[in-house]
Amino acid sequence: MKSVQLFIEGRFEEAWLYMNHLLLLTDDGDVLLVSADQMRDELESKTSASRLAGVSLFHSDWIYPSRQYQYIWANRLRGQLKNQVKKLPQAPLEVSLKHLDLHQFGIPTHADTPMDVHIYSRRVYLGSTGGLFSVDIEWGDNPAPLANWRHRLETTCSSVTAKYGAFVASCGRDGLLSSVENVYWLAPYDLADDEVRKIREESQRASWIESNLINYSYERVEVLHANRELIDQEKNVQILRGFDEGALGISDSLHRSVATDDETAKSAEIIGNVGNHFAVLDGERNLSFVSVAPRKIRHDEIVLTREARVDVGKVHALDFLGLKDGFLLEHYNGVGWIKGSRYVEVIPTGVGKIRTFPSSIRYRNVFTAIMNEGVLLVGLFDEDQFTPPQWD
Amino acid sequence: MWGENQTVNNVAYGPTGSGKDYLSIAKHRCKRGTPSKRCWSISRPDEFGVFEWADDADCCDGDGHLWGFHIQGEELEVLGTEGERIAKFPKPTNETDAWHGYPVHAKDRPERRPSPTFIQELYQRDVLTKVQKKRIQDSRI
Repeated sequence: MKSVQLFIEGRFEEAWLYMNHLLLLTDDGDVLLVSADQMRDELESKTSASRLAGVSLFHSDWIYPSRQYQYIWANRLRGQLKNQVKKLPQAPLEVSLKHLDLHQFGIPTHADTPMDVHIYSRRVYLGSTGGLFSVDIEWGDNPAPLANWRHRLETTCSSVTAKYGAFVASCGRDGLLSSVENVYWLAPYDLADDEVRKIREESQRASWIESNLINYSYERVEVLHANRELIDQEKNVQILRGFDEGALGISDSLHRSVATDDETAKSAEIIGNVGNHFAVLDGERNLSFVSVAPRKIRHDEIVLTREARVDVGKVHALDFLGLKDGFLLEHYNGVGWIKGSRYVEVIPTGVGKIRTFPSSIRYRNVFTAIMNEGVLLVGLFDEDQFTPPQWD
Repeated sequence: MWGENQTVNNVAYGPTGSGKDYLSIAKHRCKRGTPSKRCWSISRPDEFGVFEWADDADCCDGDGHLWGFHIQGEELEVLGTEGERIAKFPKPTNETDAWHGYPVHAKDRPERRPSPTFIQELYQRDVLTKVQKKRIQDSRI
């Protein structure tokens, strides 16, 4: 389990990898779009392990292929990448924004305290104390906004997610709010509406569990059953049409699933979920993965299976995110990579926020970390990936 | 110079440099066997130290509440029995009343935690680092 790290100095709020760009939101309220290819070129001039560094950070699909052309590249490069593992630098490589072409635009003045950024279907969402904003971006060689920012919600939004053509915004005591969006791939159907609906009364953040939503409220974690509509059978296009009225609380079940008795259940802590895998700390601060059988959710019952325990030491866990190959655990003093029952510390100091992009093509095993003095891009890979498959 | 005046359950400290009196109250110094809710894990003098720090740094929000941290190096140390790292000192009802305080989590309900805008202000004033600011604003500590 190895990592390649690239540091970019600056004062940043957010860092997202999307299509061929790194999006940075600065303290000054500027959105910077940096070409990933240009960063890779800069990076490759700084290390003799240039190919491995470049692929790890900007083409992890060539290490973790899932499509035919990715397997072809992975097979071509396997030997070269393996030979470069021992040449990888221990310290983070650095590139300066001064040496890169930047495409820049501002955030709305009303978005004075940014809280969250989410990119979905070429659209950038910005949650802030001034509300929720969105803007469509042309992500080509000269990326730029296609129009002005739209002010979607006026209430403080701390977290945004999106799926099935709709955004879902967590706005604290103002609730969990959602709207189907006129994103580019819905244009042919002329179905989109902009009506914002309140799904729940309270929400701090939300994440998807297959086709359902997990709402993290102040005192409770609950599952909301999403209703989807198939609007194009041939292309299997589905959009979100709302949620069932009730919600299934799962906090107690998750707590009990890692505890030996009621007393230890009280000290259990739900860190987060990646799909149907929940990370729960038991009273001894051991991390357990608990899986949920999603098909049972609809019938007002939940089946939990405790899958594995990982010894991560006595940590103050803060976040749990998915990668193509394993999971990331952010804790108070660093960030660690979990793969199977193995846990490897990747960053030995506390970070402000981490982002992963497991469903992307090029950045599926990459994460970004906001640090005090800049942003760190980290490409993770397992050397096992460079071993040719054994055919019978 | 501030002194320490023992009462039956509470301990008085102060005044601070700005003239505020402080009462370390028994309710938030939870004893073993009682439910731990908003209980300090640090000593009473350290509790007052956090209050003095908040007063000196003028960590006062728009509602007049003070917010404190037990900062060691670049770390926000735990100051509550449930791992809390933030202290709230609500504005006293009467100006002449002594202040008191208790630990809170950033993931508490909005009325119990510092607002994101206030935390942004502390960051801009270099009271908090980027990492500290993001963790509090994102309700992760």
